[in-house]
Amino acid sequence: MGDNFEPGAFIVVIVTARSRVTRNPKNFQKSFQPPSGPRSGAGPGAEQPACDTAGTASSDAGIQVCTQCIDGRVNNSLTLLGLLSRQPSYGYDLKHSYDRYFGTGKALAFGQVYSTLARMVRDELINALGGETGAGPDRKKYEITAAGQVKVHEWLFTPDVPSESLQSNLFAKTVIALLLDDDADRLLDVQRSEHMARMRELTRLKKDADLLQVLMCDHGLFHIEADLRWIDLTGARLAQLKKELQST
Amino acid sequence: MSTTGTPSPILSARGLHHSFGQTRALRGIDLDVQRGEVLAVMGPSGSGKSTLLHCLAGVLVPDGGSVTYRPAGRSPMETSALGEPKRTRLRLTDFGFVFQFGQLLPELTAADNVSLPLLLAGTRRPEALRRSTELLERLGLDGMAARLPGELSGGQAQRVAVARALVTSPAVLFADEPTGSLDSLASENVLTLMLELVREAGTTVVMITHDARTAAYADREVIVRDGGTGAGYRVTA
Amino acid sequence: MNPGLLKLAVVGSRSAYGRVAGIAGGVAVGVCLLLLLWGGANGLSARDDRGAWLRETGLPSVAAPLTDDPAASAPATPVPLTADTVLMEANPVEVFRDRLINRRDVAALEATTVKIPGIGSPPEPGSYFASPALQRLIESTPRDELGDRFGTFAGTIDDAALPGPDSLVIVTGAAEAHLRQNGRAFLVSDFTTNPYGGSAAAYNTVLSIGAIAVFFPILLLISIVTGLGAAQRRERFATLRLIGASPQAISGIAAVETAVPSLIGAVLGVVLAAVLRPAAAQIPVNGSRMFAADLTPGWAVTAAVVAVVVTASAFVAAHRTAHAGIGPLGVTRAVHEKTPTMWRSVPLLAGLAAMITAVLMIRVMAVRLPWLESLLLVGGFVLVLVGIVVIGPWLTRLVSRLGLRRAQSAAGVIAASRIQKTPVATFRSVSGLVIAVFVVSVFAGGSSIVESTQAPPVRPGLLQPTSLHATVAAGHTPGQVADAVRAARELPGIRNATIGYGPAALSERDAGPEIYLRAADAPGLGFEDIPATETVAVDSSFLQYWTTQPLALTPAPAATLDGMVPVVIVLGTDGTPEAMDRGRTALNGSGVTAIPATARLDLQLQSSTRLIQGLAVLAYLGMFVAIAIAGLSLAVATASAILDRKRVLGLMRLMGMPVSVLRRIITREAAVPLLTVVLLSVGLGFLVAWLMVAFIDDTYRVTWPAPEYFLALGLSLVLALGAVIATFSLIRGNTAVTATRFE
Ligand SMILES: Nc1ncnc2c1ncn2[C@@H]1O[C@H](COP(=O)(O)OP(=O)(O)OP(=O)(O)O)[C@@H](O)[C@H]1O
Ligand SMILES: [Mg+2]
Repeated sequence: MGDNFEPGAFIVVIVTARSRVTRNPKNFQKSFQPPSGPRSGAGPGAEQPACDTAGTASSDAGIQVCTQCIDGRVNNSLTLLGLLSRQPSYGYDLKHSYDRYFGTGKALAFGQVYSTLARMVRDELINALGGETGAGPDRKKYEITAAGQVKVHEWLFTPDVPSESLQSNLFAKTVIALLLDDDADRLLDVQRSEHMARMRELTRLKKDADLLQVLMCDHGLFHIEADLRWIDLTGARLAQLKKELQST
Repeated sequence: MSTTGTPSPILSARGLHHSFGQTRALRGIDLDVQRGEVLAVMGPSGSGKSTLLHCLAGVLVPDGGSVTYRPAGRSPMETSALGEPKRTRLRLTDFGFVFQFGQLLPELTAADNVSLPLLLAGTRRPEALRRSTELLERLGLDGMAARLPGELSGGQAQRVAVARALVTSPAVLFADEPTGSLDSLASENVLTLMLELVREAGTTVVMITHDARTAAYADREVIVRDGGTGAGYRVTA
Repeated sequence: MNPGLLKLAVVGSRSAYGRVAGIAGGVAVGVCLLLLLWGGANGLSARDDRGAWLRETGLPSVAAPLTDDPAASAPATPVPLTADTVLMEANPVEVFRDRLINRRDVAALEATTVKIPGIGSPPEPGSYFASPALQRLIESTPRDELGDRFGTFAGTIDDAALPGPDSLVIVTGAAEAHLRQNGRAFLVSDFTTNPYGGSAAAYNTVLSIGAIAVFFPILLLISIVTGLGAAQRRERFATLRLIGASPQAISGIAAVETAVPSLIGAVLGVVLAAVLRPAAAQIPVNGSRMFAADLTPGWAVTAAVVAVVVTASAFVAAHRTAHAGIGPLGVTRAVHEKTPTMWRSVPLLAGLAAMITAVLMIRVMAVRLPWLESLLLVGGFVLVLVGIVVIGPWLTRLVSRLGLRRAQSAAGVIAASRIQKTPVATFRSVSGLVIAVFVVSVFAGGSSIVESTQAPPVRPGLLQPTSLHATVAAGHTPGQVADAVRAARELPGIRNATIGYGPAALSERDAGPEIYLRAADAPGLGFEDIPATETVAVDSSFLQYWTTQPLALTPAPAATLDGMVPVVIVLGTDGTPEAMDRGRTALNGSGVTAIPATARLDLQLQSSTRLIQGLAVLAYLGMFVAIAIAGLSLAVATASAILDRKRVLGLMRLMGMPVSVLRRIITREAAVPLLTVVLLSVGLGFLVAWLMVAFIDDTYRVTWPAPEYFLALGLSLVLALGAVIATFSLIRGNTAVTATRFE
């Protein structure tokens, strides 16, 4: 697939196309300038209800977290928050849980975990429990707050903007949903609808476009379709996945 | 259902149940198909999509529930309560069908294949052939009217099938994986030509597909899962 | 070949079981019929062999000295009886009811060494040996109708000398002097074993043609049945090709796949034939049933039939598969039949040419080459049979091409297109019936000769069919004759008795051309215009069965009768069989008659057309078998035409095509080829019949066929309709939505 395309650029193209063209297709030609900067182009898209990764972030914290994402895909802070919403736990245990589910090949650094936890305490998403005040963070036990719970739930059921970098975030959401015994099916369905809506838009765009634009749209369509396939497959394997996750 | 609210859907199914022996293919499906919309039906294999389509089209009579068809300018009818001859007639005059493959009679030329529904409806042969050839030309099959299905490519054969389904100007076109056996370009070709004709005539389309790119041609999709429509679909048209 | 693959091929899926059952069933029926018919043919010839001794004509019992002057021949001198000869008389018209009894009167010396087949030593005068069937008849009938003709029962004739269990054969002992009275007895030293005399070659030729005619439809049936499910199989083979099986492997699988059910069917057929044999033996052929043992083909023949059927079906399946051009892509691209061309008329024309040549050789050439004639005739017949099957698709295609252009309805377009694209396959369905019609026409043409000698008119001036007459032997006084007549007249059912007079007994040289009788007796003979004299005369041809123009009575001088002797006795009966048989028994037992009592219709029982008549009975049997099989194969072929197109027809129904249109399609696909070729079959059938009849004897003539023929023809068409209608029930079930699902 598109090794020659710069992924970031592509995302922006889609976002741009979506934001402008759905309202006024005639603008498409104008706005369809392949931007060159990586994430900088996301600026115009910020007015959209969702950004590509942090998606639902409604507070500054969210955006911050978003920008500090380690790989820009999985939203670590929300994932950690999700893991924490199962039961209160120590930072040390949290890191290991994270690594077990999501850290294959990319273990989380302790420093990053503690800074994220600290930020979440500051944002009142979690509370540090008991422990000796002033002791190292690994001695503290953290617990999720009601606001944190709401935030996790919001995160889970707000679809991400379709993009090829979406998968791992969606994956994280799915795992968390399963761990929380929440409705993972619904999560996938919500995402599927979002994907389909995007594909329809792109398909509609193709109708009166010239060949180059058609190729562009197709590129987007195929990528989104890959996501969709993963969604379908995961949907089909949910029961099995749940059994496996909960047994470990 | 989130699709209600629009006035008088052309087809509505209520509480459809259908079993094949022990297999419960449909378990209480509700569905409205709006007049003139292109609806994609998606879902895992074996979830009951074809069965649903057959019930909607009056091919199968569901074990439980009802299907109502509201033709323009005529009074609504509950197709699931009609007898086989009436449903056959209805399928001939009001519905069109496209399937994945192998639906053309191999001994008949493309034009003869297309003219069959017209002949069945009582049109005289020269007139039927004229209309078929015309439609074939609109589908980009100029000069292929006299070919046999065996002499056409998959995409061309599929366009012949589309022509046959549309030649009677049906109110609803049912398609079960119409591009299932075609490559991307051929299926795009077939779909755009088909939808062009369909939108022009205001024909309603119910199209089963596994392929998201195909479904993206539709106005909205429903997902069938284990014999029920999933909660995860929404109106986008 | 990999045994696992083979197992997969033979029992692939559930639908394969149906196919296996179909093939096995069809082959079983075919093999069963083959064996029964084979047995029947052998049985007939065994039967004729056993009856051959009855054809012995021996040597004259009188020697006429040679003189220079033929007009003044000296009285013939009897040839004396010796120990190694018997004197035997074959009674030509021993009739009971409507059956001819094969009667031999035998006189022998005490010390005779001649053995009579099935009996041994000749019976004593006044006693008789009878076949079991005749003995049963004698015992169950009043003696004055039958038993009195023969004397006392001495024993039964052994089955080994009887054609069949129903044969009526009797050998009565007689005094030498009695047998020598009328000069028709002959001397026999041993008995012939050649059942057909001079016409053996012709008989065998005709018999083998009949056998071929009956076997051919059976072979067609087997061939049709083994093609069952061919379309589905082609799809499966395509899959196997796709996963890497070579074309040879596919052919091999096809062969095994057909051979296994064929073998099962063939073995079933052998069992079925054994079970049905006693029942089949009950079918009367030529007036007699068969001995069950006659119908039993040897184990060698049975094994050969099984082997040939299995091998042939496997070979054909392999061949068809190899030539279907199944690639890995299989049936996505339809395999096209080769378009039939005019060349297809060659075998038919060649066959006709051969048969015509054979007949011309016999009629025109001085030199006879019987072996070549037979070869040409039998070979020509086979070619004509094959030729009809070969030319059928071509004609069918011509007709369907016309039809397609004119077709207006959906059913018409679909049927005509299919026929035009696959004329060979479509014609194959009806080929059995077309052949049956041909065979029936041949048989009907052949047997119409028999029908032409039937039904003498009942008119004044002709001998009445209810009358019996017997000529009086020389040397009996009018008194003796009058006594016999008086005794006969008193029997119940005898209306009147007339004595005809002449100058001398009719067998004497002085016999006059006319028979004289009392005018008062004339009405009893059925005359209406009676001259007003006391005595009247009529030409003696009055007594002959071939007289069909009424004769008139002429007046004769009153005193004429005085110097004359009685020459004939005519009994008028009420026409009941009992009365007729009573009259026969009385006259034959009176001892005054020269020939046994005869009725006009008796001649038919022993006419010279018996050979043909025998064939005609076989022919009707053949017709029945051929038509039944043809109907069966049409049903099978139609059914497989539906099953092969299950999916596409199902989709058509789904699209809104009513079942009635599907029925019309199926009907048309059978009717067009059938009707196209059926007229040709009828015409060819009669032509071939005429050629064959001309081959046997140019005195026979083919005439308008009997009503039975039209009955048979109608029956075939009704059967065809029935076969097609029978498959209608398949349509609905097999084209339901489920048929459109991919398997
Ligand atoms: N004729 C039949 N007999 C038995 N079972 C059937 C029949 N038709 C359908 N089914 C069963 O009903 C269920 C639904 O079948 P259906 O064909 O509607 O599925 P589908 O969604 O169309 O699947 P696919 O996408 O594979 O075509 C399946 O489990 C199938 O096995
Ligand atoms: Mg399906």
